[in-house]
Amino acid sequence: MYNSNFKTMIKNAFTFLSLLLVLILQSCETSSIDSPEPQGAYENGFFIINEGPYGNGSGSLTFVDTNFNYVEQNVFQNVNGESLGNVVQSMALSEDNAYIVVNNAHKIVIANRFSMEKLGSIETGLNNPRYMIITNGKAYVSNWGSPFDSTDDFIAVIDLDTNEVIQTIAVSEGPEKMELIGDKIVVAMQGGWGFNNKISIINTSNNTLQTSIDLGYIPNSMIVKDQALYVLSGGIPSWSWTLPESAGQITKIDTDSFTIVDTWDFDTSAHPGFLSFDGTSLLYNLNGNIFKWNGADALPTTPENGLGGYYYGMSAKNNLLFTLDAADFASEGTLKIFYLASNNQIQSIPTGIIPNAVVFN
Amino acid sequence: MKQGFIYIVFLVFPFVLTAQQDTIQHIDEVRVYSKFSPKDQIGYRIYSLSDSVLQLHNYSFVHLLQSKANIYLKQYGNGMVATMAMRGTGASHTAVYWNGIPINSSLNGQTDFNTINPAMYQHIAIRKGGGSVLLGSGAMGGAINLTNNISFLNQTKGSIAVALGSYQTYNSVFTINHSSRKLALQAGGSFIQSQNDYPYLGSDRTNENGAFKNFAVTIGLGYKLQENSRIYYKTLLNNSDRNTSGSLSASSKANLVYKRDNHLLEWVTANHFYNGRLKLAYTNETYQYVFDTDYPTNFSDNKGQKWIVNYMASYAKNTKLSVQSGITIQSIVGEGTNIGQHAEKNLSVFTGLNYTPATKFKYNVSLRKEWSDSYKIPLLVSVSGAIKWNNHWLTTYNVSTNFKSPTLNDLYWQPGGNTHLNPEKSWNSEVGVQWKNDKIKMMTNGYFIQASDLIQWKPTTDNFVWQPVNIQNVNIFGLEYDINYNFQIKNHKTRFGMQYSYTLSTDKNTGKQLIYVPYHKASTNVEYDYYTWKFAYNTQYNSRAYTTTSNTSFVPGYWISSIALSKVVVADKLHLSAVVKNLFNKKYQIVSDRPMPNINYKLNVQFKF
Repeated sequence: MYNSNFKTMIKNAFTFLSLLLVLILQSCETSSIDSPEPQGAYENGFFIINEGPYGNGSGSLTFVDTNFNYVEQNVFQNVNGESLGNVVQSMALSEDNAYIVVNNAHKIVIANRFSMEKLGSIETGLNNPRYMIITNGKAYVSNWGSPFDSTDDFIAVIDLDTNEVIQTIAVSEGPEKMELIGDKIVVAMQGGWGFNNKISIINTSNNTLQTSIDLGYIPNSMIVKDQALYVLSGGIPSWSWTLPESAGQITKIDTDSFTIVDTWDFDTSAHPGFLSFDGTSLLYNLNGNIFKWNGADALPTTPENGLGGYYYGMSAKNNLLFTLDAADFASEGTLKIFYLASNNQIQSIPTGIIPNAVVFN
Repeated sequence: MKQGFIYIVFLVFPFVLTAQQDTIQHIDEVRVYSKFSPKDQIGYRIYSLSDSVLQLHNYSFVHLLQSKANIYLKQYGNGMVATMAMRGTGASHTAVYWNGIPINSSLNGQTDFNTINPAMYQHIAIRKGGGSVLLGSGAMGGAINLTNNISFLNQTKGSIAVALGSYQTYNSVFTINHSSRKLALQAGGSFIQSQNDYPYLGSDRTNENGAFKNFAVTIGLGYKLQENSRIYYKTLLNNSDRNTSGSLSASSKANLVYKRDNHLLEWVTANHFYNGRLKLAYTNETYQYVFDTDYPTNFSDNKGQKWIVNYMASYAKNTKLSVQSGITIQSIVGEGTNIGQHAEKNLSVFTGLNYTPATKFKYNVSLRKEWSDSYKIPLLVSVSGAIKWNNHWLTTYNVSTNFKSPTLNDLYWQPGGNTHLNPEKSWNSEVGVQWKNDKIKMMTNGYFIQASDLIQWKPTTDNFVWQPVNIQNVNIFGLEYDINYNFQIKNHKTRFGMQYSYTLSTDKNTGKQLIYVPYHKASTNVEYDYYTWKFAYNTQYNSRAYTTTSNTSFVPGYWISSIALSKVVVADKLHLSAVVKNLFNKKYQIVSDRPMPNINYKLNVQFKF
């Protein structure tokens, strides 16, 4: 009895040991699945900005060609053999270059916009950089600064010949998206880690803060249409613990005088986002629905059929609507493209993790 | 001698006659201690780490847990926050106790194992499997108890250890035990500091902003009121100051200071039939997070305090039947930058029955009911037992329901905190088979955990603010396999141990493996003693761990080894040891983009008196 047990046990132990060996040999594996060879030419199409996994790991870029036939994930990684960094926030394009703003790595990665080959990076003078806009050989980058200091937010001015921060312009809390209007840059003061209710106008001829205009809380998107700037403010959300919930608002601003021309208020519990422009109509997302608006009449009450969803990013171009669904924020998202003449979905394209925007190349 | 005998009887009774320690003790010498007393553990697996093992691993609790108990820890870089995924469960599903007092953070429900120095304790027990009925909130995957033993042995003993290691790591530990037959003092202190600036293998970068220091003091006082009545005071002061290291994908200038102090007053009475323990405890934890060390005045400060009153009593009718009951009142207060100020009160009652109808067969049935002023907790039940077929074969089994309370962060974090949360729940079941003879011991355990209402932070539709919700349901199926083989030829003593676990932990909604839970984990230990020399070799294998919930990306599996050589230069006076970790200089990551150290060394000198 003893002997047979013992033998069986030893046999089992050896089986186990071999199993373990197989496991160990198996361990020589790489960490990404299905990376196609880089195409090396990204002229005709658009990039999807993927923030990347929350907390750890790197964001990425997805490339989709104009005909939606070719999709490549991890473009920058494929070309350069290195990742972009933690939380890829946005991308700005100059004539030849792509500037990729990596928020939590406090840097901007520079690559050729057509080949995606890395050219360098800007790693000093930035603190939680968010968005970038380029004019006259200079870049303006919105920075949130420290999460525990509401007074250290700034716009960094970068000389694109030397790739150095040459100046900083102090602004109030949470500068986010920007629009270039003539020689002025309009900064939406979304609030960063807190809440803010302004747009700030930067004069690029002397790099000073010219003026700020108070409007609805949390200005989250801006569109320039017919010599007017439309700013969409989401309003204070229900979960705020510092301020009472407030209504979303659209503010129309004259781009010559930078004065408020008109405002449209939403309900107090309505917090719209992603103001977009398809060439004819303005669009925005509210409570999982998409609304179309002409920019003049009362705000619409009936949503568009077939376009709805809880999107993490949205933009429109040439009668097409691009929506980004971040799913559970810990796995691949989806880009859905709708034809706005019929509201039909024409494409569904997998993205990287937490896609937040589409950038047309 | 007599004192030692009484000490054993005192602590073990009333279970001394029925306790079958060999069914549950797996590592090294056996110590008997409170809370996880053997009788309450019938049918469970306990890894017992003794003083000698703890002193040897005075630099890393994480390494000790990985190598000796084959547990997967998610470590955010060397020396950084390290949480446990015991049996494929989450970071807050291992309940950690300090001398029987729950010390998982009331803010985030977790314990950071890199803040614990094992050399501060005389005994550490690791219990795998559901334990909420006996232990309360959190013990869904398992539980760990850190114990300071105070003995009245009328002696003075102590040690001082000094160690130097790679990356300018400096470590020192001292312990002292001084006792008469009435009064006892047990104290210890540890200090560890490291630049932690190791090179990232395969790149020209090093681990930046990774320096840390950890300081801990423990003091225990015991007074024997009567032969069968004692009073103890135990305290722990801990200060862990770490820069939180950058990674391949992000730089960091952040710093985290974690402070904790625990205080416990304990009164124990025992006779041949009855054993009662009254505990009054206070714990206090503080997290101070500086986002950018260039601006040290900008930080978040969150604090959690607990007051606990607990009485546990056991009564043995005879050698076959005993009952144990307990009552606990707990008050928690959280306060801070991110959570405001909130209090929470709990009352729990527990009762259990141990019955041994025949020498080969015994079982335990227990119930627990807990009330909270913030959420509803279901009635908990557990049944466990063991059948000893003969001297070689033993079968164990257990079935239990378990829970984990929402944490203060879950309830009150701004923004996002959700006061409508329910406790997380699980059904655990397990069967184990053990075979042994005088040289070999083999164990196989299979378990199934059905966890529901798990709290996950999800982006809401309201501006994508992250909010915790009772949303996730997880099924975990696992197999654990252990083999230990000891043999001695003349003065050559050899011990061989191998542990392997298979963990299938799937999200019920998607059918995918949970992120950061590897399927396979194995650890092998070979120890060889020859007179005053001791050689130890450990190798660990972890298979890939997914980093996306869709299982499309992962950190690759890895295989790392370490060796230790030690020499007793003067018996009971001077010990020397040298350790080499990551012996084959393997490039590996546990958490994505956070490379772990290359080959590194440590020299340790220990003086005893």
